[in-house]
Amino acid sequence: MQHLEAILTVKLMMDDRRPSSFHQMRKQQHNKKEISNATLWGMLSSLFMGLFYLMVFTMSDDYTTNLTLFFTLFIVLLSLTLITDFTNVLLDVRDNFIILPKPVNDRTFVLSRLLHIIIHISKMVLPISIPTAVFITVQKGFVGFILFIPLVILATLFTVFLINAFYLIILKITTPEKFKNIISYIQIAFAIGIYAGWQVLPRMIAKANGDFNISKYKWMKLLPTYWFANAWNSLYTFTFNSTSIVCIPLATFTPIVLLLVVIKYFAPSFNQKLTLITSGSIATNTLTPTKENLSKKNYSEWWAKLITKSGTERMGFLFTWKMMLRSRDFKMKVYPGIGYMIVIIFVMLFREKKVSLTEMSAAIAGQTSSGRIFILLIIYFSSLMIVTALGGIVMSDKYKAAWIYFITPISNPGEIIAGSIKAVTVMFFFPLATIALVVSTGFIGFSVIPNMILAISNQLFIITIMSMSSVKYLPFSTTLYKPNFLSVMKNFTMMIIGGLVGIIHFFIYPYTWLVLVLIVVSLMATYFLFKTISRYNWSKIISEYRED
Amino acid sequence: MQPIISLKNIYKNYGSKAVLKNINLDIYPGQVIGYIGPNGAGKSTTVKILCGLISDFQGEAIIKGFDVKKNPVEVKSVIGYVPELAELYDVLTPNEFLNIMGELYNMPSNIIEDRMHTMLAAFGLEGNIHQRMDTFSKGMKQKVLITSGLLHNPDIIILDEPLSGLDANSVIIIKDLISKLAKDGKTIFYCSHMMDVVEKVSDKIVLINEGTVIANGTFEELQQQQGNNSLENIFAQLTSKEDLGNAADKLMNAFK
Repeated sequence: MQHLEAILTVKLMMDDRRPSSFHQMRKQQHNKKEISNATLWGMLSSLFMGLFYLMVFTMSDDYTTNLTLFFTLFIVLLSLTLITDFTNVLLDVRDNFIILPKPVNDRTFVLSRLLHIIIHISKMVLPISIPTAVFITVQKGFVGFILFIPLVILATLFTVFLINAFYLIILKITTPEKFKNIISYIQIAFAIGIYAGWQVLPRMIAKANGDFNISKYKWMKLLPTYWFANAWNSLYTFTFNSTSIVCIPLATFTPIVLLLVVIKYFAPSFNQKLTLITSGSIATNTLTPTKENLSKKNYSEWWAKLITKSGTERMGFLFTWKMMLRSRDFKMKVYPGIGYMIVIIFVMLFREKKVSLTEMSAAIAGQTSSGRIFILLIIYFSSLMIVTALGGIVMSDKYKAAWIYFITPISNPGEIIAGSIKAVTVMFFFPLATIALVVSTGFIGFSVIPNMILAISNQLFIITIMSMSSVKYLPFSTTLYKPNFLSVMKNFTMMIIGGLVGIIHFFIYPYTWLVLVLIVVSLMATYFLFKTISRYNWSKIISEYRED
Repeated sequence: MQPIISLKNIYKNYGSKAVLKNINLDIYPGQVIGYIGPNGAGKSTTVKILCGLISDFQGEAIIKGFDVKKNPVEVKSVIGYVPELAELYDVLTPNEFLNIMGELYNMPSNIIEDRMHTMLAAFGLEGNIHQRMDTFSKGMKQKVLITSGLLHNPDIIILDEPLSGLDANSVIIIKDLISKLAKDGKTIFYCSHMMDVVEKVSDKIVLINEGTVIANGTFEELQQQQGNNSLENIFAQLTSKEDLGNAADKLMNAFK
């Protein structure tokens, strides 16, 4: 009993101090203060989320529909939170090193793990379901409430099963190393997905107008969440039909059975593989020697030879390129931002009623102003994307490795920065610009080319201007990016300049000769500004040698 | 003969804490200096001032005739620094990392390639040249770090615990390398806690404690001053505040 208490106390205390992934994304930039109330904040945010779930009840009057949506949201979001917590809570691999070697009774150990899992999950599930539970009690009385609770529990079990199965499958397919990357990609995709859903869902709900009834769709019956909803509904109203007679046992037994199956199937190797994930590297000297990956190397090297001066600038380009490609930290910071941009673009596109192709072409050919706006916006919007990426190359969790900048005889650190900006431009802006150029030429014809090129060269100009004000750090060399008043003002001014450039372009759009002249002007301006960046000496660089 | 490294009246404070108090050292070309001291004595700070990593200090540091504060770039080109188990951008391969270092030292790329292959092969890492360093063990990373500090053939080599993480065979290689580099005329500044190695390898031993140099001489000179002891004992005599034997007794008392 004593052991149980001791183990649980420590684990709950650790939970309190562990920052959730949500925390990590926000606190990273501010301070290194200890987090000691993670539990409380977690529960509050779950409660907040639970309030949002109430939205499902606006979808229709049919409770089966609403509850299906509720349970779907519930299972999906719970899975996502638990996926990252899996190796910390559900199968805590640190126990192998800390608790198991000590003389603790086997039963105590299993019980402590079980209780910890239950407590951890309840901390999330309870707050999330409270708003809905209250709502149901108010609307449908106590009976509805009584039926709701066990279904929530069953849905939770189902989620746990899903996550176990997911881990099992993934670990059979890939190595623990790639696994971490996969999880990151999933988190990124999910963040973007939520944002997209956020934008899109309110519109869909408005369209649905309250007569969206899920039972109309036959294929919905295959969804496990439908079983839960249907079970609730039929038990509550005490009406049974063929569907519900199937659904009720399905809802009740499937989660339990599936979970037991997965647990029995837990081979010992599962535990081992999980240990490998958390302990990090599997370094041995028996690593098989690998050949250089030539094809990828050629693309970046080709660009480097084309647009960078050999020496420090080229090194800055290639270094930044490789880090962007490989650093998980960078991807986690930048890709969601880019995903959001793409979502915004699509949302804006389809905000109006569906536009026909010919209508669009006429609009874009410059006849209408909205067409012009559309075409220019795509290019100018990419500046937001680039800004995100530029922000990402300055910071890194490996910032301490920046000692190499301070130990080596660099007289013009600006060249490294110039190289890194070029790398960002080639990696992010170039594909977008090419696509935009090709697509617009395809739709409208060659007449659009001068304006597109002007837009592109203006973009380069804007990127350069923005870099001048913001990128005064060496690549991957800091951890804190403290925006003070001066830098905020600078960024704001740059954005205004960017906007002005866009507006001027908008007005001169039809005058091709002027456009051509301005292409030359903006290219020259970009070139000269860039040279200035290359010439930055150490007095302009904010990065400094840090040991902490 | 002019000293190749000259530290004059160096004072360094971190906030209100004085880390270096009036350090004066002259080091001549071709010497191997063993720089020892307890934790927090100021060894790393001295080293970082020498390398140009810290420029905010009082006093003068002249290296090969260049003032570190006024001509940091010239100083950095003649110094090679091997930090202790330093952080690396380990998504890179040794090939990529050493190419970057070579570029930053303004070396021509063919020389970088040749030297890199030769040195890594000598360390037994030939097969891992194109492998990302995040899969490397501590010792492998340290070997890459050592290579990065020597790549540009510097005249002055500063090593901060270079044997950290290395297995016994690699330790032998490095000890041998240090004496051969010294014979070749290089000046070596070597910080370590491993007294037996320092004893054997150094021409002169400099002992720093609480920011000041409390011993500076050959091993024989120190032995004459402090009695014919091993360096470990001399170190303990000069730096520990209490009898170290007592500490072990007190620990044993916890079990009684």
